[in-house]
Amino acid sequence: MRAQPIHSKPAVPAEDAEVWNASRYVPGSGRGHYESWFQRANHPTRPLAFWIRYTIFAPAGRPDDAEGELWACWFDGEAGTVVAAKRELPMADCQFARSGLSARIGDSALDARGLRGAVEGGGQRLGWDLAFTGDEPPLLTFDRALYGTPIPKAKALVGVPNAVFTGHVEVNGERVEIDGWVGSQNHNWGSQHTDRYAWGQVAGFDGEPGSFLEVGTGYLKLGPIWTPPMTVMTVRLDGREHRLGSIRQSLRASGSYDFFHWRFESSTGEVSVAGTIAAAPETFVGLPYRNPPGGVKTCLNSKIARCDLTVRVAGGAPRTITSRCRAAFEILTEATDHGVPVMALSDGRGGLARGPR
Amino acid sequence: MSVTTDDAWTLRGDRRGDGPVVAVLGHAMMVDRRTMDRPAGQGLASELAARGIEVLSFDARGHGQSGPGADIGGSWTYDDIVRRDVPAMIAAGREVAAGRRVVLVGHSLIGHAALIHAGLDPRRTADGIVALAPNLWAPHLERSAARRALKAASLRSWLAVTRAKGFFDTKGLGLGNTAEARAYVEQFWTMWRTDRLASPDGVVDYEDALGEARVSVLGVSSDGDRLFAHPDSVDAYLGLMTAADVEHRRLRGPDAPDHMGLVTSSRSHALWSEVADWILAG
Repeated sequence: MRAQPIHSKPAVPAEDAEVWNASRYVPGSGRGHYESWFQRANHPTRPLAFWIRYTIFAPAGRPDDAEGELWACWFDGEAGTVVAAKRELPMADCQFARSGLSARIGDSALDARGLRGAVEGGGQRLGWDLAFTGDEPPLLTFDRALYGTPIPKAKALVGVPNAVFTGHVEVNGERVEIDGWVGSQNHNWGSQHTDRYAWGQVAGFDGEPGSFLEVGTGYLKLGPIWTPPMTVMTVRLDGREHRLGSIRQSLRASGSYDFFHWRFESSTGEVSVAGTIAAAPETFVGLPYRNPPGGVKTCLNSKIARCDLTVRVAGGAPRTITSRCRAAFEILTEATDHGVPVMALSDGRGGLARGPR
Repeated sequence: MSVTTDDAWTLRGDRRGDGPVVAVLGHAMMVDRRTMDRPAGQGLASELAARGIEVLSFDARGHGQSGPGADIGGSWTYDDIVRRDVPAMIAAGREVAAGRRVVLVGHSLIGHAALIHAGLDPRRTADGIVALAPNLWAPHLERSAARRALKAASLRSWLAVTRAKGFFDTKGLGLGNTAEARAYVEQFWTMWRTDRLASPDGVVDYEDALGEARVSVLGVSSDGDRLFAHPDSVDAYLGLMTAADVEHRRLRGPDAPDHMGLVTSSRSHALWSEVADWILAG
């Protein structure tokens, strides 16, 4: 595993962002497909965050039932509230570009400059009008060679790491100004979701504005057998990228999580990365994710988690960095004993609010 | 420059030269548009521009700068090239031409795809088509038993490699510089297996389309092209164009270029000059 300086020899050239963000959805295909572009950002210091996701869902064997899904969540760790909403629309009301970043679901749009839209369901309404900028090259979760292969079935990457968002979001009629919040623009797709996973991300650790962490621990089900946990991670720190994303390295790494604490570690001869991500249960919201082959899984979603990370590059002293309340933490599960309320859907709409009113 | 297809795939290209005719260039499978001007500044595209022809050259979807490639999850069929990329390239030529004549010059993939498109969508075709090494593989279009066997074996091996890896890794096999999508290779295999040139769903019959095309065509083949587009195979393919005005120019002799050499070999300079003459003659 070779650490690469980001700016002199990036893993992915910045001009490839539009290629990496292009839709992989093939209209009419019966193979089953999900694909999402999600944007998220945190207040620079306070436990406030938004997450907005534009999604394609195409069930296997029923290509004519493909839909666009619009999701949005607002996390307020000060008030102790989480607000979420979702809406599904027929594909006839959606557009997804085969090149570059361009998606439209109903009247809600996303492109390489920003996103504008609204989603309403279950008595909750979130709206947004946001621009984003970023000049860092895309960050790959896996080794590049794995993005065209059948395994892993779920691909993920960060199109714009450390994106800076400006504009506003509206949460049930209350306008929140977004002024230079740092986060990311992301893209993932596949023929089915990873069977079980924890996913985390930090866009800029506290006092380390150029840093970035993308990490996942997944379990795959091969017939009746569950694989051991596979952990992939990519860290950018001090102008270098450490990508620990091969299948072999993912099996050598360790990762274990429960509700709601996660510990992970991956080492090569050149770099060692170890960390934890944790969040209070009340900062999560449960979102029902349909799986293209069938069934529904629950995504437990918090965007105001804590992350502590220690990075040791060969020959150097260990560096420990922290994000006190700006980490993304998601767990995809079929379990029901997590205690987090899960959004209910009716006629393709849903909404949920947690915490004091 | 770029043009967007009707399914929102952006095709990147470049533009050079000026003159009374616009030539739209498209490349073969497994490669990109750089092959249409090799060496850069001295190849086919530059020769046409030097002869007073305005030249646009495009990368087909998943190729060159028109990503995403198949090696990072891009997916397409041959039908997408026929019914989406070719008309988008010609439309870009029409826009630039602003009333001047537009001739499509396609090597292999874009050549045979453009001939099919001319029959499927006559209102959006070019004023003329130069097809260098055009043919699709199907048993009934291959008279040589040896070449039939070799084509069947090639397609089987491509398919096996493609299914194992998820895409056709041409670079890994030393066949080209651009990966091809699984759905694309699957369509080629289906056309061979069923011995019928048709869209993946079987609805669009390409042979019927070739029979409907009424465009002027200069088809080119070379004795040096021993498998991909042997002159006999090209002859059989062009023979399907019963309503078109087709001229088949066959390069003969021991120095005749191979499949890629038609556009990349300096030995093809005289051919490129003939192509320019044909384009300018209208």
